[in-house]
Formats: sequence, structure tokens, C-alpha cells
Amino acid sequence: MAQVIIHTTKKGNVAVTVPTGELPIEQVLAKDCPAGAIIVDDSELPTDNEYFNAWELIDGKVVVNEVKKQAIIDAIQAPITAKASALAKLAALGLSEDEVKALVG
Amino acid sequence: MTTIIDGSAGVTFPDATTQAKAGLVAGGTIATGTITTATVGTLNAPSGVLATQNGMTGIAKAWVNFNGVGSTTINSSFNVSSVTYNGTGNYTVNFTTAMPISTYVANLQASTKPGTANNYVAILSSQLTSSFTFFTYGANTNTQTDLPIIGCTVFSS
Repeated sequence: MAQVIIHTTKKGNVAVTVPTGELPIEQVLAKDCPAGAIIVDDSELPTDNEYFNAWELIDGKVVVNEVKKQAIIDAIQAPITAKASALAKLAALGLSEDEVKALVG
Repeated sequence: MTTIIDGSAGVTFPDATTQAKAGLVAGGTIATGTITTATVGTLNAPSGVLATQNGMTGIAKAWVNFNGVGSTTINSSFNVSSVTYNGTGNYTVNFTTAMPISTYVANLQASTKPGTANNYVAILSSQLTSSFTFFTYGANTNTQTDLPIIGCTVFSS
């Protein structure tokens, strides 16, 4: 497994630094990362990158903050829900599905 | 006074003046001259061995190609020690050897796959001599997005 370097950003989420191999990872840690950054095996990171912005580094372990994760889900869902609602209102007016699609794409 | 060309000893000049006229100074430095064809075993800089192209002008000083989805996978690089994934669509490229100036040119490319017609955008956020940070945005949106094909090329003095 490859090793990476993780640290907490000013925003409170986790940043992952991936070495290219040009320098030893300890040198990359000293040169490219802030104090407090640690080297971990990438297998220790959560596998679901979709909620990367909800990752937090706590006691040397990366965990997913469920509140932040839900906020990400809500942000993704909001425009979908809004569009579905608008489509439903147009359908209620008697427009066919094809007519609605012709209007709103 | 004679300049001696010897297959074993090399070229021996009778004095410094003659040597200077030949475009050479003590130590074997070519002060001025044109080399039509040169085969170079080791190319040295005045400060030491010129191990990479960092010391040359007119050619790329660094590049990296990586998959920016998730915590990134680096495919190939030159003079890049690491790539930091700061968050969705937010990356920092760190140089192995720093650029001599902060006003270098960083060319960015970002896409989902070669030939896609969608408009993906990579925007430089900040650049230091040691690194630069940029954001990638999805097709026709203002939302930062991870993209699987990201390339960066740096030119500098």
C-alpha cells in the first residue's frame, strides 16, 4: 500500500498529500506539509471520496463527519428536488411528459 | 610558440593570451563560441552538476499528470515532489526544486476524458516559488469538481 501525508486544513477538513516518488516521503513531509501532518497508509483513508469535504482528522484517524456529509448530500439533492417539483407542477397543468421536456429540457 | 593537440593530453596552449583567443579560459570554460555539434556526457553548471533541466532556459521546468478524483493518483511527473488534494477540485502542486521566480507560467489542463466536448475549467488560485494551487470546475458550472485527467506544465526563467 502507498503512503500519503494527511493534515487538517484551515477550513477544518483533511488534505491529502501524495508524493510523486522524486523525494523520500519524510522529505516531502518536511518540505510540503504544515506542522502536525502525519504519514499514513492510504488504505486507512475512507474509500468514499464523494464526501471528502466531510473528512476530519481526529487522533490520527480520518473519520467522516456525518453532519458535513449530510450537508453535501443536501446540496447535491437540492437542485434535483427543485427540478422535480417544477416538473410535477407543469405535469399537473395537463402537459405530457414530452411537452414538459420540450419546455424545460 | 606552439599550440599542441595531443590525443592523450588534450590541447595545450603556450600562454593564457593564446588560450583566451581560442575562446577558452583556465579550467576549460568556453567564454564565447559556437559548437556545431556536441555530445555531452555530463552537463555541469557553475554551481555544480546540472542534473536536470531546471538550470536551462526555454524548456519546461516541471510537469505533472494525475488523476484528480479523490485523493489523487499521480501518473507521471518531473520536478514535482507531491500533489496535495485540499478538497473537491482544489489541488496544490509542490516542486522538488523551487522556481527562481514566482511569476513563472503554469499551464493547466483538466477534463474527464480526451475528446470530451464539455467545458472544464482549471483556474490558478495562487503561485509561490515552491508550489502553486488551482481549482477545477465542472462542465458549465461554478461548482468545484474533481476531474480524472489533470495536467500541469511549468515554464520559468
